[in-house]
Amino acid sequence: MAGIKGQAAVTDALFFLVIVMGLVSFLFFFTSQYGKTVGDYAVSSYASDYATSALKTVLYSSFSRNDYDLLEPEAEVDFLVAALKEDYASDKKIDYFRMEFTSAVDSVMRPARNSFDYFILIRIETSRTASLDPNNPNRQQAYVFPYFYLSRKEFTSVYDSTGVFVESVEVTDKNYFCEVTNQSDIDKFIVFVGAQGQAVSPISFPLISDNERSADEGSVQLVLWNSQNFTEEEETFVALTCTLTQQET
Amino acid sequence: MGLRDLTAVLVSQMKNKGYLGPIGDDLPSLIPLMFALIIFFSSFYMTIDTYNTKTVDFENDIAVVQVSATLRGTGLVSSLADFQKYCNALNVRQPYFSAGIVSLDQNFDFFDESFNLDVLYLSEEDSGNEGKFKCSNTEKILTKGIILQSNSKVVSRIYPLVLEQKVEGKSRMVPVKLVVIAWQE
Repeated sequence: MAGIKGQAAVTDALFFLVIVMGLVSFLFFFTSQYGKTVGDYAVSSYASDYATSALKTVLYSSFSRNDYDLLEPEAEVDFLVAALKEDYASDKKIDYFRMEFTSAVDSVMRPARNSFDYFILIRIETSRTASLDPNNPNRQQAYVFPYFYLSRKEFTSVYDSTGVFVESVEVTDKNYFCEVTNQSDIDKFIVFVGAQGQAVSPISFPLISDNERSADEGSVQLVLWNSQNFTEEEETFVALTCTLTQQET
Repeated sequence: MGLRDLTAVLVSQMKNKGYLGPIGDDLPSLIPLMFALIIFFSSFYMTIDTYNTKTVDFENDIAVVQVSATLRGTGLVSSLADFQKYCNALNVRQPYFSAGIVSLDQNFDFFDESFNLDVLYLSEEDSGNEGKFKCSNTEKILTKGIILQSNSKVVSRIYPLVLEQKVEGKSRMVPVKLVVIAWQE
């Protein structure tokens, strides 16, 4: 019996080791997971707050009609939204003040440009009945999009002379105007990129008419997402029918 | 000692071969035991350390969110008095924070030698209510030295805002940005 005393003690210690390993595994799991959800929520919350602030800023901002600095006393100042409505009322398009609006959006989004890609669109409801009925086959055509601007980053790997190792990654900022006609294409794109934050604001566009006062009802939507590395051949992106307007490396 | 006694001793020793005594016999079991204890306390210490570090990060995040939400208000800052009213409503003691409204095209680099957030604030001098769009809970200034300290925690957030500015009595809604930086030394 004396000969097997030591073996019993070693077995006990090994059992103890197994229990400790279980506890250590739990501690490692806890360490890796602790705060992950809160961290993700913080990023998402920041994106949503930023989108809301950015949209408010763009819609409340003044702009100078005669290209003077806003703070010059000679500047002829109006609200940017007023100019947009004026532009839309003339031909139901946003073309005359398109660059002014785009420039305002770009400057407001610049602080978050390194963190997020984004698009901003104006959606006009052409058929209230169709847009509210989920079974209506024409539901997806119940909107038109007179303004759709998308800004994203594209990452390109630069290989060394052997063609095997990546030497550096080039980041290119690309801006597009898109001519999407279908709401479902936008929804698919939002799902594809995984929107981090978005803000929507209703907007009314008065129409010029001799007989009665009328308006097209619509909304402005700003969507932010973490930069996704997709090419221009990506199916959900192609569906948006975008035209490259500006590119910076 | 007779031959019988000598034989008995030898037989007894043969039976106890390898037996080192009641404590000595347990010595091999101490190896896994010590190994288990070292692993356990190391990972326990690491867990506590990670927990504390992340908790400090969350406190900074929460403070920045709280400060920025209060200072942003409705997204429109109509005057310096308006901004100071929001600032006075804040009751954040820790972490230290420094917030201010800066023009939209004003860039700053944390790793710039001359980095000093104090120079970035807009000022309102024309309204007769002179002052800076600045809000802070400390007289200390965040410097590059503090940022580069190994145990310092710095969190920053930037939000766009509209600031109403009067030019010869006419109001202009100028897009600006709110910069909030919180840190613990």
